[in-house]
Order: sequence, then C-alpha cells, then structure tokens
Amino acid sequence: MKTNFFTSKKRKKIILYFFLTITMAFFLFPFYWIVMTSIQPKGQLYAPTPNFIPKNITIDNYINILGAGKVNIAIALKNSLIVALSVTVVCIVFGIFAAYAFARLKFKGSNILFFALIFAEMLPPVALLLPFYLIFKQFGLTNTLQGLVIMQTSWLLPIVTWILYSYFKTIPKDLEDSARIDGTSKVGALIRIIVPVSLPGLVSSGVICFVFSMGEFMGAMAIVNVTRFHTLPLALAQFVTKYSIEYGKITASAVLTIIFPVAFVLIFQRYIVKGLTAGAVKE
Amino acid sequence: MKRGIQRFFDFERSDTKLAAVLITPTFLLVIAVVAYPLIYSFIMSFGDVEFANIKEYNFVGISQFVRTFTDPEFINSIQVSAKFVFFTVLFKLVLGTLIAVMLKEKFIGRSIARALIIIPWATPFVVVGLMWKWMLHSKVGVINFFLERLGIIQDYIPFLSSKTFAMPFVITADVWQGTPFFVIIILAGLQTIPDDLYEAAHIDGASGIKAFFTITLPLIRFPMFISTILGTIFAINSFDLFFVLTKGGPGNITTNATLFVWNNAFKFYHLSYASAMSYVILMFSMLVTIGYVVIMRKIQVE
Repeated sequence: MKTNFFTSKKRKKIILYFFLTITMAFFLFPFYWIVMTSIQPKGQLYAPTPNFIPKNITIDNYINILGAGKVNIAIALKNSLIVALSVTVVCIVFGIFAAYAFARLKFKGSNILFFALIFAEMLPPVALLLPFYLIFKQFGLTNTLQGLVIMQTSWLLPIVTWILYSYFKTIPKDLEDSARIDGTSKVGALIRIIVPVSLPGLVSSGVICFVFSMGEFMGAMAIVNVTRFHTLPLALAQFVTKYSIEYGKITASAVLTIIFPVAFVLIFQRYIVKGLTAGAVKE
Repeated sequence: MKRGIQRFFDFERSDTKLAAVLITPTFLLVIAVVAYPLIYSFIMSFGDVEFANIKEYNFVGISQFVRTFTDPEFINSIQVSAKFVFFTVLFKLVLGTLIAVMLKEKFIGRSIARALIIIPWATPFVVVGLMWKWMLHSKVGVINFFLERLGIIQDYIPFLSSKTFAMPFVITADVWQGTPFFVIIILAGLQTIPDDLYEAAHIDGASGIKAFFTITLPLIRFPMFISTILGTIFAINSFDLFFVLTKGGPGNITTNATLFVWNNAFKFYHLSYASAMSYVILMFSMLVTIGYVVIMRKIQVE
C-alpha cells in the first residue's frame, strides 16, 4: 500500500502541483501585493481587512510620485537608467577585451592577473567604501552620475570578464583559425567572428550588469547625498525612512523601480540562466 | 615615429602586446577603484583618524585592531552576521534544491514557472525590504492578517521591532530574494543528469527518495557547492535589507558586521576604526574564498 502511494503517477502529480502552487505563491505574492497597494486610494489601505481583489482602482499614486514632490521619482528613474545603461555598455566593451585576452592570447602572468580579478570580485564592498568616498571627494566625483558609473563598473567588470571568458572558451578555435588563414587580423577575428557568435553571452552579462546597477544601494548612498543625483534605490530608501506612512506612493515607486529589471529578465531569461551558470556546471 | 607606432600596433606577431592593450582598461579601473582603496584603508587602520581631524594621521600601531577584538558591539555584530549567514544559506540551499528538483519534472506550465521564479532575483534589495516591511506592518500588514485568520496568533505583532521576530523575518526576506539564484544554478546541474540513470536505478529497485539520495545528490554537489560559497559571500556583505527593514534594531539585535562598519564610517566618522573592522571582515571573506578555490581545484582534478 505504501509503495503504491509513492509510485502511483497520479498521486505524484497531485503532490507536485500542490507544492508548486505553494512555492509560486510564496515567490509571487509580494509582487501582487505591492501592485495592489499602489493602485488603491490611501484610505482603503488602512482598513482592518485588506483588499485582495482590486476595488476603486486609482492611478493617483503614480501621478503623484512622478510630479515634483518631496521625493522626485521621475528624476531618480532618469538617473538610474542613465547610470545602468552606461555601466552596461562600458562593462560589455571592456569585458570583451579582457575576456578575449584571457581566453585566447598567451601572455606572461595571465593566470595571476585572472586570479587577481576574481579576488577583486570577492572583496567585501564595505571595506572599499570609505577610501572610495575620500578619493572620489578629492577628484570631485561625489554627487555625480559619472562617479556612480565608475564605481559600479569596477565592481561588475570582473564578473563580466569571467562570464565572457567562459563563453569564449566554448567557441571552437577552428572558427577563428579559418578566418585568420583568409587574412583577417586578430582584432578583426575578435570583432567579426567571436563577438557575433557570443551574442547570448553578451546579452546575459549585459542584463546582469543592468539589474545589479539598477539595484545598487550601499555604494550609491556613500557617494551621493543630494536629491538631484539620487538613483531609484536611494529615493526609495528615503521614502521609506522619512515618509513611511505613505505606502501607496512607496509601492508605486517600487513598481516603477522593478519594471525594467523584471522585464529584461523575463525577456532574456534563457540567456541569463546560461550566464549565471557559466562555470558552475561541469560540461 | 610613425613607423614606431605602426610597429607597436602590429599585434599579429606577439600575443603579449595585444593582450596588454586589451586588459589595460579593466585593470586600470580595478587598480584605481579596488587596489588603491585597499591600500588606503590599510594605512588608515594603523592610525587614529576621525572625521574631525581628517588631515592629521598619527601612527598608533595595531591598537585599532586590538579594539575590534575587545569591542563587545563589534563582536555582537560578527555574531549577528554569523547567525544570518548560517540560516539564510542553509534555507536557500535546502529550498533551492527542492524547488530545482520540482522544476525538473515535466508538468504543464513548466517553462512559465521557471521564468517567473527568477523575478525575485532581479528585484533590488531596497524594494525587497520595503515589500516585506509593508507586508509585516504591525497594524495593517497582510502577514499579521493571515496569521490571525489562521488562528496562529491572537493579536497583531510588530514583527520588525520584536526581539524574537526581527531576525527571522530579515532572514525570510533574504531567503525570498536569494533562493531563485540557488534554483537556477542547481537546476542547470540537474539538467546534465541523463534520464537513463534513473531508469537503470528504477530497475534496480531504487526510485523516489532513494534515487534522490543515491543519484541526484552526488551529481549536483558541484553546483550546490558553488551556490553555497557565492551565497555565503553575498550574505556576509548583506546590508540593504538590514538598512531598510530594521536599521539594526531593536537595540542591536539585527546589526550585522557590514551595517556596524557602515555606521562607524558614515554616521560616527570613526575612519580608522571602521577601516580596521573592514579588514577583519575582509579576512573572513578571504577565508571563504580560499576554501572555495582549494575545493574547486580538488573537484576539477577529480
């Protein structure tokens, strides 16, 4: 009887669906809940019984936060997008260069330099922040978007190099060699052969950069302290700590904050899985 | 001169020249923004610099490091970090493995489920923090509502200002955000296991839970190990969630080492002391990283 319970296919399916439902509910409910909160009028939020189904839908919260208010989300959104897109582009370009050098070229000290890069990635950011702040101050980079781009790029470049390195390693060398026989230069082969073939790897590391940059908080808080240069996480944190009563506006800002990362991740889901698992799975 | 430049940019003969040009931007940045600050704070940690006397540097030897080991608040913050790292990584590993096993099964809507499970990973920690802060609200929080309706609690509880519940809920929020990463890595490992292995085991009488322990687990130990190490490093550096959810409170019950160092550096401006503490945290991270490299080598040799 007992073995029957576990081997019976139908029972197995039922158990599977039961746990799947619980799992998906746990991971998705918080999203549903902030969207629900953001489209309700203020008074309704503090009712004794929460609304689980939309009632009296309003977009006032969104209109409110995008206008000039105490916390200006429109500016933060613009800053975040500028920083995240710049970081992504710079990381990809420099990452291609470095990854190609490590994956394909023979040079003295390549092992040590590659290890140094991984080592840099593993350092705790909080250990770097204070000197960061003091140095950036000297160069006038505090309270600038350029400062944010430089800081985040330096944190992400090692990981991008690592992902692209693993990717380049999987490209058969013959592909490049045949082009080289036809007279293409090394740089030409990199641009015309390697880069197009590695598009999935580029997309995956690009999205990882973008997602990280859109969410980066501790470093940004250390070097930016004027509202004009706030990124979304800074604006949100200020919202939560200073005006914590306004949950309608807070959740509306949160929804705007996650829209871009979530959309990109869903669109490029397959690539990201490949990028994140680069090197983690033995082929 | 022109010929000299041409000769320098002749990459066809030597790999080294091209490599030097290609890796320069990356290493310039890493040196400027990682190596230089490291040296800077190393020097700082042997001095007595406070924000008020930032221009003066007096060498005080290792006294800042001695202070780290005798400061009960710093020791407390290390304990908080240790507790947090242990539980959050353990839960992520167990949940991540179970969910990955479920998502490997064939069922209707599998690809949708696999896509949706990644979303928490793409959610910035500040958003994660405020989501959970709102759901844990002491008066109108949806979690209080559920627990009361289910009869688990009698009255609403201010979870985040409670000495008993603050830490478990910071861990819950972190597990919610971080489990998908474990799922992705472990699921990728599961997909490399050929189906015939299970069929063969089935014929031998091993299926279900037995097959999981004898076949699945040994074959996914590599991705499990990698996600554990990376998860440990993420957890040591965790800051945003603590900052948004509890600010370290109540008291210092949820002040982890990173938050404590941050407060000393950017709130109280004990620059030298903060530098010394950050070096202690750095040593802990290094131990994890070295362990990682050693075991990776071992696995790769196998």
